[in-house]
Amino acid sequence: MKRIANFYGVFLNLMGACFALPLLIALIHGESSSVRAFSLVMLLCFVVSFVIRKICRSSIGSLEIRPRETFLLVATIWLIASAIGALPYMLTGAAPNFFDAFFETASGFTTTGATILNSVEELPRAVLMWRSLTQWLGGMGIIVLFVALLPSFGIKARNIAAAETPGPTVTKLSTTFSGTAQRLYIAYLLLTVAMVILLMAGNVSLYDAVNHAFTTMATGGFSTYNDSIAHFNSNYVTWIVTIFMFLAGTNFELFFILFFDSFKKVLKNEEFRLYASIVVIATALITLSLMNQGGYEDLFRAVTDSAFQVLTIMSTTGYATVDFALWPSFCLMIIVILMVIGGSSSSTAGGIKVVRLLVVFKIIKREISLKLNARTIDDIMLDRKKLLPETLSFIIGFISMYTFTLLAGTLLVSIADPAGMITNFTAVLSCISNVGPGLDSVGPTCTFSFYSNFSKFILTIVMIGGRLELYTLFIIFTSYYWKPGKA
Amino acid sequence: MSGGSHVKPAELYKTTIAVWTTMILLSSVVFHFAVHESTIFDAILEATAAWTGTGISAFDSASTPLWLQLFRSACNWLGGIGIVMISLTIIRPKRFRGWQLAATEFPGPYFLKNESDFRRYYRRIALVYVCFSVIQFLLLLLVDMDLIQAAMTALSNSSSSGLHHINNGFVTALPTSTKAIITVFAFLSSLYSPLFLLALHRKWKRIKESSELNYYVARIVLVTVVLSGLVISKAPGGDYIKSISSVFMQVISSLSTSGYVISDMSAWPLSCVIIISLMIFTGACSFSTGGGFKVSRLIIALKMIAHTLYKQVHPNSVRPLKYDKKPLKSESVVSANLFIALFMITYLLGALLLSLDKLSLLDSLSYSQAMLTGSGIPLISPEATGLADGFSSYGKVVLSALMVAGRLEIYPLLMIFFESFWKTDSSL
Repeated sequence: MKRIANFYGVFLNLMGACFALPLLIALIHGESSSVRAFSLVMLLCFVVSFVIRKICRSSIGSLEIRPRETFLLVATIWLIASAIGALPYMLTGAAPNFFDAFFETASGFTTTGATILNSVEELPRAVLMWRSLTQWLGGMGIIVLFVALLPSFGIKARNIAAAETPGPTVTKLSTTFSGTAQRLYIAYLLLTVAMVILLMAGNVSLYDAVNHAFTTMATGGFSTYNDSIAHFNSNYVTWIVTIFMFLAGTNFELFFILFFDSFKKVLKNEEFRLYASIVVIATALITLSLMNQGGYEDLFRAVTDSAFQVLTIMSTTGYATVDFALWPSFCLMIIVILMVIGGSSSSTAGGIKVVRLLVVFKIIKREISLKLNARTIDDIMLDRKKLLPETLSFIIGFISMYTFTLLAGTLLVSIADPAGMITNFTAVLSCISNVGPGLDSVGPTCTFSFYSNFSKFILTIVMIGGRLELYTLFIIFTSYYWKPGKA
Repeated sequence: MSGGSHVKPAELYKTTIAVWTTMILLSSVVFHFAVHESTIFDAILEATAAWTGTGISAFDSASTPLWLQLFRSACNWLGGIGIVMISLTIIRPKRFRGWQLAATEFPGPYFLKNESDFRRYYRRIALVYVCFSVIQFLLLLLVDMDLIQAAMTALSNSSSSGLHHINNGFVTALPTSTKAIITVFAFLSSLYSPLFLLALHRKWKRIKESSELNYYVARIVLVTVVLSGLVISKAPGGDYIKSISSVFMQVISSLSTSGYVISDMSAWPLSCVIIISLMIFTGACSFSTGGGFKVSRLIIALKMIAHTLYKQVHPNSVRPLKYDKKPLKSESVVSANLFIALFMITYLLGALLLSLDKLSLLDSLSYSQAMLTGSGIPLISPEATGLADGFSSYGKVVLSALMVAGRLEIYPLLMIFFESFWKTDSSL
């Protein structure tokens, strides 16, 4: 218990420090209510952290977390972060109640980008910065950041971070996990800085550039404007955002391969090839549909809008340049499929992930070969490496769990809010894949504000479940987690 | 494998695909020439719906000749028990003695004692199927249903094919007694068939221990309770018994994937229709005439999820996954989960193809589901009539392909795109 409490204490310190940036913005812009709110929450974090660490009296280096405790720790840290992060919304009056504030913060940390705020332009600038920062912090993982900043955790932190980023591929970029975490964050930071500079080159203000770079690299999708990226009315900005969404949805390990090895090796990566192929094919199909049925006459406009929407959905960012809910149903079906697929593994994107889809296709192919010739049992290979049967079972099990969570979530939301099948289904799909907008009443120009508190709570849990790839969150609801001796 | 071991697996699938294609094409000729001004695509859709037991039609039942409706119901009935299996039983070819061929038409999952039992099982199950149809027919006559209508209803309902011959599947106007008989037999048709053999041998304990039956019944009860609660809460003070019974009958129709509309849902909250639509994905029990990805696969998938979560807490545990108290092979577990994934992929791709026919997103998704699960009428679609008259020729081909994919459980249809399927020597 002491070990876990100590971890919470250190985490609250880090959380408190994160409020410094919005506090600075509040001071610069003279937003007194925001100054009060952020100072208060910051102070609260530091005081609680101090008290916990005083009571538990343990140094950081001696924090030995048992494997079983990591799940509880990760799941609760995400819930606690969402609850604390909700306080500034409530104290500044940005959100009307706790459920709304909790939803908005969880949507931020999980990089979902679904919002209950009907007009973000009316909010204080400090609150908007906090909103964007939650996405940037959650993008690479709150605990991964923790590990990167506090390398003394070393090997003990690997399990904790793995529970937060349980994707199918975990490559060691360094001898210690904190080294890997640092390298991932350096890549993340460099790409964010590069995007800020490129956006500013397109006459975007520093404030807007930082906000949008935060939310693009995290594949979050929060904007400082009600009409999202469409506000800038610039092809240059649209294409910069499109390119960075593509990068954010790519496996981050490939950036290191590109930097330290060769471009050829990146192109040979099976997941990257499928990811790029899906982007190209989906863009081409939507462009064709828009030119034929969607009323588009300018090919460049159609390609720009298609590529942007394909990447904003597939990378699970969730920005908007047009109201794609008005597009032909063929385009909407492609969007729904892209929402399910999501981005690459080891990226900041959500969804099932391209690598899992690739493995499922390979297993289906093997199953058919097996049915056609019962004597052949081929190994499943990914990038010339054999996948273990347990990995295959885990991937297939994840797909089933994703499907059932999606259906159960839709069912629960439908019981409380009969908003229509497409609305409820795409709302849950959007939340589990951490996309942001859905279709129909939760389309790109709408918000989730009409949902009841019960539905908002369910959607919040689904968001966090989706971000932690389901197992980490759901395991703490099982009886054998709490009774480990029970067989 | 018993007998037939010299037959290559690809040949078995080729046989099943050939038999199904032949029967559909031959029947479509009948439909094409029997219905005035029908196109060949209408006829193909009608024949496919008839053989796959899907409750959708290209022709309005009010203007279709009675003999043709009877023909469709007969196709429903034969399709329900399996065309290939009937052929095997009647023709008795020497090359196909085992149950491998049956597995291409009824892909399972199976939980029979051993594989050599299959033919004996099949004959007995076919006998139960005949008996149920006859009993249903007699009971319907007892409640004053017309002779031909009773025959058609018994044939179609025994095979979970919907009741297209009665007002295109909208049977809300039928008397309560008739509805009750239909509901009971729709439920029986959706059960794991070998259970009836156990019942004949009075092995009640084994029936009671059947995970699939227990889960299926529990699901029906739970959905009925939730839906009844929602319906009653929307209109309190009404006849509760009537509300609950109407919900129950519609739940049976939908969960068994029979797909007829037996209750007036116009006054129900939208949530009820959404819930029913979501539950249709799972469908009925394995080795029944119902569709969906099957209750047994859902149970295996849920057990696998629970097992994976358990392994996270106990990584060194070697506890096996069990189904009906018997350990499951890891291939069976992966296979069941893989089928669910394949089912959902096919569902989304089917909806994508249907959306090209200028359908709304809701219609694309709901028709894809209705065809793949064999339920026929998409309840969630506000303009669904049980007729495919709004579809183009292209749309009708897609609907037909989805129906066949659903009935043969996708793999046989997918195989035709594999080179190895065509490479194998064929000597049928």
